[in-house]
Amino acid sequence: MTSNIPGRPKQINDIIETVERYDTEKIPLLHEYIDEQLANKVQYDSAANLAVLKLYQFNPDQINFKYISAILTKALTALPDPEFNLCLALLNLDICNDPTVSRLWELQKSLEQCRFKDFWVLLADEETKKIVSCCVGFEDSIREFISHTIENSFVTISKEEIGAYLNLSGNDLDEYSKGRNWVLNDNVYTLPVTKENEDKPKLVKENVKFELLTQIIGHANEI
Amino acid sequence: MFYEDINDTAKDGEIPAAYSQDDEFDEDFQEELVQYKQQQQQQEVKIPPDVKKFISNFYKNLVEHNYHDFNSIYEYYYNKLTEQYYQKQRWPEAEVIAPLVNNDVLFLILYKELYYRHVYAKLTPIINDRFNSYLNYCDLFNYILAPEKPVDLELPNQWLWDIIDEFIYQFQSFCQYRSKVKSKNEIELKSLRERPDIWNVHNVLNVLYSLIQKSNINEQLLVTKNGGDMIEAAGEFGSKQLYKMLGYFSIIGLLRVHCLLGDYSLALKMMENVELHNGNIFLRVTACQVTTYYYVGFAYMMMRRYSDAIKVFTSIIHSINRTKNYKSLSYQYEATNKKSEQMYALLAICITLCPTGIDEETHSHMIEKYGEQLSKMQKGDLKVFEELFTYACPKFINPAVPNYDIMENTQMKPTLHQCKIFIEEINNQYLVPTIRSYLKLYKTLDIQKLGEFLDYDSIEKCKNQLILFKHKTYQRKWEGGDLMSGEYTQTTDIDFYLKQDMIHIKDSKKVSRVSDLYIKQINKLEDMITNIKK
Repeated sequence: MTSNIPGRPKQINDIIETVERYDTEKIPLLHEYIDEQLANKVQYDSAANLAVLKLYQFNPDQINFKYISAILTKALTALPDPEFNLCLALLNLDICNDPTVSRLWELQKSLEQCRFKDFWVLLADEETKKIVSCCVGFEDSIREFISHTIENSFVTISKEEIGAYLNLSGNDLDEYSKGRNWVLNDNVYTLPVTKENEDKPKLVKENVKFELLTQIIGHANEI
Repeated sequence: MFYEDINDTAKDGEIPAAYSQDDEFDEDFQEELVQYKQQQQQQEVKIPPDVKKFISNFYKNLVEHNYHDFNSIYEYYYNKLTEQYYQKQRWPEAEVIAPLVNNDVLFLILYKELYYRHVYAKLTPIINDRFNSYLNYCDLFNYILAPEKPVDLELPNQWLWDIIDEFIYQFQSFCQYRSKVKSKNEIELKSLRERPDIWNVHNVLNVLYSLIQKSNINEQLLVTKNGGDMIEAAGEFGSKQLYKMLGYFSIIGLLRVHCLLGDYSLALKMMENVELHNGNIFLRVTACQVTTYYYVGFAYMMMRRYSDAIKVFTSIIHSINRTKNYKSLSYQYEATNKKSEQMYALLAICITLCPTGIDEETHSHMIEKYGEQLSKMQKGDLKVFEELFTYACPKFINPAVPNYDIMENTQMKPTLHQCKIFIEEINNQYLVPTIRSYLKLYKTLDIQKLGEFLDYDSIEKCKNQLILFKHKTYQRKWEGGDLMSGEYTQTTDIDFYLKQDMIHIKDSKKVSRVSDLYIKQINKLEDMITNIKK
């Protein structure tokens, strides 16, 4: 089996793609790999991190809360993919009652429910801030998700409003909006056209895949 | 192989009956023991002549490698005799019949597999049954996997499927059983402590992975998909039916085990070389087909890919309904039926969360069964979501050995955990269908007005719901390739965008889907022509 996860070293790939993923002796290597991901904003390897949680699931004596919270934090940066839920599914009721895990779950709920302002309030808490601080570029990654969601929903939006969603104002917001090609007019941003916010009739159409026709073509051959 | 021992037995068409919660295992141990002794006494009385004849015949066919009669032995005579003599008691012990079959090792392994499967299906297994059945599976899989040359044995596909299916069922059942620490007596706890290797999750996984590896089934599936030399890909073992089928069924087995452990993405990854949507010869074993679709659909649902889940559920329900009439005699019928009921429930959940048009027949069946629940869910009644989920989900397991010093029954915890995650997820989005129903009526709508409809006091909250609508209906959807892949797309038929405080609802045009119908009909016609020619 092969895999093309960007940035995944061969050594890790050989663990994840084989039965070595069940070997507790590989845990230190996988932990190191998580540290690498935490230090690199764009690197995220879902399968490798889930493999660590699975090792914990099979071997409760190996559970390491530091890495559970690191994996969950990193999973938040993968939104809109529901990675966080996939991680939770490998934990259990008792682990989820851990105060750190609960805090992260609260963060996730605020984002999943698009209560973006609440998210920033929660994040302002010193304890919470400390938990996510292990992940380089955490706030930027979350802003990326929020912006993407807003761009999918809005064509125009007031500066004040979007600033509150992103927890940005003044120069920071101006800089940020330039980076995303938002055009300011009268305190209202016009957002770039995407497939989701464009004013085009939604066509529910059917595409016929070539593979579906192979059997029919096969029949034709017999005639 | 990276573990030494291998285990197993299988029971067909296991069904995770969430409501029944295995109460039978909680019975008093003494009572079980008495029952067991009685059963033994009964069977010492006499083996009925036709059972003797059945065993001799089965043995004769086995030693003479006369495999074509196995189908009727397995599917017909065995079930007939069970019905006649062993509805409420055990088949004769292997030791009792051993003289009849010359103490043949392979025969006794196969016999014991059936023996324990029958105990699990019709009676209450005691701890010794669970242990011995596991050890018998070890013997069986060692017999198949250990030799350097493929063994000369053929079994009907249905039988092979049932073996893998039962193996996993008994593993699942054992995990539940040992989690009920409070209901155990000292003797049971002592045995459990002494033998942590029995039904150990690593050993179970090892069997399945080893079968996959030995059969080169993934390589074979790749050749089927991309072309190439099949004989070379299959190798010495994989070209034998026994290994090939066990390999394939083990892939499905892993799909299921990983789902039971809550590892949905790994579950789907197991299926990366399996073609689900374009006809697949392995799916001819109905029970295998139903299991495959159930777990794939369930995994999709837990990955918030509702439109993919809907597609998977409708396609299997459709096919179950089509074959229902002439399968009704099969003893798998009940199991299939139960799974299909559960899939209707899951379908109802997914349709609520991701309103989608489905075929008329399935839709009306779903309304018939879950009409009331559907309308409650559409109003955001989380209790109903929870009820349907608990009814239709598999019985999740904790793979780790519990702490036998804590007198607590924890067998429900894994399921409660998965349910909680799911409900929290739903909790985020139950207003989606309501909002959709309002948007359907307008071309443009002021947010203020939507707020009034929803009885919201602030525009802010209302806007929040609209962004949420967009976020939740923006899902990955399978377009081709392996089951894990998918592109983000808006999955609802109603779409909109916001210009500050004004909602603009997009026109939606539906082009009716006809290609599927034509393709199916053309293929059907060709099949008919081929059959007539025969």
